[in-house]
Amino acid sequence: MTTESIIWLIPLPPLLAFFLIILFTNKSKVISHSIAIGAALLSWLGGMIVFFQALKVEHFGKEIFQSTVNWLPLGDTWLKIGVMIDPLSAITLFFVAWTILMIFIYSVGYQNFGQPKGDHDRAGLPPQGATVTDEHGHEHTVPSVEPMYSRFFAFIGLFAFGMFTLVVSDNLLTMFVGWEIMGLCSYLLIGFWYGKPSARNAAIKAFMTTRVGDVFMLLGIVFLYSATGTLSFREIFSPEVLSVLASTATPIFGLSAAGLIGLLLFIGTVGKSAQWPLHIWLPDAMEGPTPVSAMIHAATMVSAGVYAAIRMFPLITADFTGHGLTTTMSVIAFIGAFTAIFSATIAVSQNDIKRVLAYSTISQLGFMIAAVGIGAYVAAIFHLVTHAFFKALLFLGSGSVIHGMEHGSLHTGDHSTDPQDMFNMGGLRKKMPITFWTFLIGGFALSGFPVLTAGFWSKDEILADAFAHGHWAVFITLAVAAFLTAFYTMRQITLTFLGKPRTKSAEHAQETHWTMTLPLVVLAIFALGFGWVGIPEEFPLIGGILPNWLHEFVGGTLAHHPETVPFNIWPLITSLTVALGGLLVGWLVYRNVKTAEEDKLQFKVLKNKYYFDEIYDFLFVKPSYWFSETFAYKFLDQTIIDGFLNRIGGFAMSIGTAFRKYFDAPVVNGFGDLVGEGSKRISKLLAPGIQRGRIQYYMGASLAVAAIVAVLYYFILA
Amino acid sequence: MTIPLSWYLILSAALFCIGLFGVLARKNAVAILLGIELMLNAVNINLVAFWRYGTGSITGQVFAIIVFAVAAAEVAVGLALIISVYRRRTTVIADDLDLLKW
Amino acid sequence: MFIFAVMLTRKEMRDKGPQVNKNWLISAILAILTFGGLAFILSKWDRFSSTATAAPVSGDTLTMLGKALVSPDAFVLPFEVASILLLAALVGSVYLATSNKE
Repeated sequence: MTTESIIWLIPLPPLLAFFLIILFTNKSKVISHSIAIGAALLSWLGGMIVFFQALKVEHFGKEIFQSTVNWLPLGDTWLKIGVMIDPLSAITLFFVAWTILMIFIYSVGYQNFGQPKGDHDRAGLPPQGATVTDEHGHEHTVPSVEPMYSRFFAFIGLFAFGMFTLVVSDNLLTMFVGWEIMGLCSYLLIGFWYGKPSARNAAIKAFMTTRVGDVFMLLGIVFLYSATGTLSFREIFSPEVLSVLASTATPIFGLSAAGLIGLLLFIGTVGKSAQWPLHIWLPDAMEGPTPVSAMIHAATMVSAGVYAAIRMFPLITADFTGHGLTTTMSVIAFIGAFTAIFSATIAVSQNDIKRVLAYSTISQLGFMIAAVGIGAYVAAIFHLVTHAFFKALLFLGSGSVIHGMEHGSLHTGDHSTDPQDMFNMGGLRKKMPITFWTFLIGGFALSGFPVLTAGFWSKDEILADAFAHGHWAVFITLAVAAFLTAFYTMRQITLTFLGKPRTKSAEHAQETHWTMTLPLVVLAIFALGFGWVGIPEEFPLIGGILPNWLHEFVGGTLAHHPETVPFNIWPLITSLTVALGGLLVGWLVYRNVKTAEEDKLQFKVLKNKYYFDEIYDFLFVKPSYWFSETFAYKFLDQTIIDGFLNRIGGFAMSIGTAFRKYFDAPVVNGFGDLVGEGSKRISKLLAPGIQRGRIQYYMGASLAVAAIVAVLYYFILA
Repeated sequence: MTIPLSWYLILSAALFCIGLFGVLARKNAVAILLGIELMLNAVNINLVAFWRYGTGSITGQVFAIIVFAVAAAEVAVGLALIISVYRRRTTVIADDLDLLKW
Repeated sequence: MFIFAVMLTRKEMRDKGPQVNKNWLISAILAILTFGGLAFILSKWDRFSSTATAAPVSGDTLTMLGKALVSPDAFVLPFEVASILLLAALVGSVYLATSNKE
């Protein structure tokens, strides 16, 4: 079994799991999750094998694993599709396989496998709890198993298929296919609890918003195809094609073809990775179950957006000469940096534990995209990988917290506390220790806690790159965003875990099942350790101990290996300051805040997300509704088209009636009646005269006629 | 003195037309029958005249004999009909026998 | 036959009044026209005025007639048919005249 055939097989087990579960094993929970986890394990195994094979190859960037088949015949040539693993996709495959496997295992516990069926549970609504009686006759409520258990695993199986397809594909077409499959699954999964109207609306919003981005991406793909005749990455990124694209000018904003295509493809990323202005769907997507949020919005789907942007890096930088960013790159850097700080400010004022993480994701994606924009290839990839691990960890941890809180609220019969509101938590450090420690590791990684955590290394690299190339605006913006990140992370940790429990639900919270805590531990290990593969060489003290393997490995993806950034003390100091400072300030401020009213940072503007949802509603949603309902439906469709058709019908009817009344009845019928009636009258008139019954009269008449005939005959005819 | 054929022919034509007048104009049914008889006899005269003034074959006379026989038969039947009609309607006036009237 | 007619019908069918019906004028005109037409046509015939060849016959006309009526290669068949016709007519008229008596 060659490596290439393994690569072909990697996306398939989850797809198979999807079909098997949907078609056959929907009733049985055990079989469904076994199939799903088995599939995730197979893909993970395949991914690890491929990854380690890739590690063995020297200069992997030049000798990649690739396999193509002819697929569509197009005139003389074929459209080829295939799989490819180069350094970028190898490292992406690594983290995707790990996170997907962890999330699948986590889902078993999150959906309350093994718990009794709920009292009032219905498919489409989150489980409400079941009453059990223990041996003493005491009744208490425990969490109940999710009614749509198997369906969940089927959907995440399909989602995994989409993600793996995207990662292993070697051309834009199958990458786009995987992209769209993930869009569909995000709709299905965000709206998993379809009984809740908020979930339904969120699903539609997510799908629509990403669709907007996808339209532009498709335009970019089409443009690329028409300009180059190929969609395969290797062929697009060959120097000849790139230089052709870079030198072709387009009439739009003075961009070259490469720049325009890069910009269009980037807009797809803006939608998929929830950058401003298409960020609105991600916070609402928290309506889905937490594993969904982890998978989609931390580890895989939004990472796919950044992966696409990074993949297109040669195209984006095709006309980049190293001095001064091109238009496309400036746009990308601007959107990235702006989004980073924009959502960091919103995250500071959110009270829902998952919303904070959602905005944090948007912010961190902004970091990565800004890195792409300024040309920091390796830094962007580094941050992508580390972020996937610690953000997945944080989301799964928050799910664990919510589970603990729900357990507590069911236990105490307290249904009025929102298990997701941080101000209802507190002191969970003692109740849920594993969750606490892993969450802490994840939070520190997010903030960029020095040395120990992976987030520090990746974030530092971005800042260093920005500083070294003199992009001051980006540098300062990202530094401020990093400060805010540390701040709100510490706020979150303090409110949730430290201090004393603020509600009864928090008092009775419990550590969660091992199927949930095991993934947390595994991911925490990665969150800690992964940073050490990318330590820059010139770092003080520990710089030279481990080689900067990541830079060597991943940098080989590009045609020209990017040079390492020379070490400068200032970015290091900046990142240390913002990280530690943010953490400290957050802890100091929030250790004494007990309720939401005391929190001074709850600015209304921030809480309402700068009113962007309202703005979009006014600008886009309401006009669309008006257009479709009033204009298109009532006016065009009903009044004009239907009215027109009805009038034609009526007109035809009236012509027919007129014909009937004025022509058919009097003339045609009249003629027939005339003939009949006329004959009757004539015969009535003549009959008494002719038919008298007297023989002599008959004889005389016949003689007269014979005489006339004889005369005629004799004189005229003969 | 020879009598030309034309005399006989004119004679028979005249008799024929007198008989015709009788058929068309008499009220009494028996009188109509008499008129018919007259017409038949006129035809006989015609036939015999042609025999006499024409070829030597005997056909003319034979024809005349046959006509006599037919005339007799016809009168018999006609009288029988008139008798039965009289029995029914006690009239022999042709104008009153108008059952075929519309 | 005339005698029969007169004998049979004398008492019951004595007619009073005029003997011709109301169409007599037209009938007269018709008859005269017919006569005129016939005469005209006949006069156009070329042998109309041919005189008789006085003796085309050889004496025994009646024997010849009798022989013609009954000899098989002459007119026996029409003779027989005519006799049958006469028989049928007489039988029929006797039937009609008798059986309708109540």
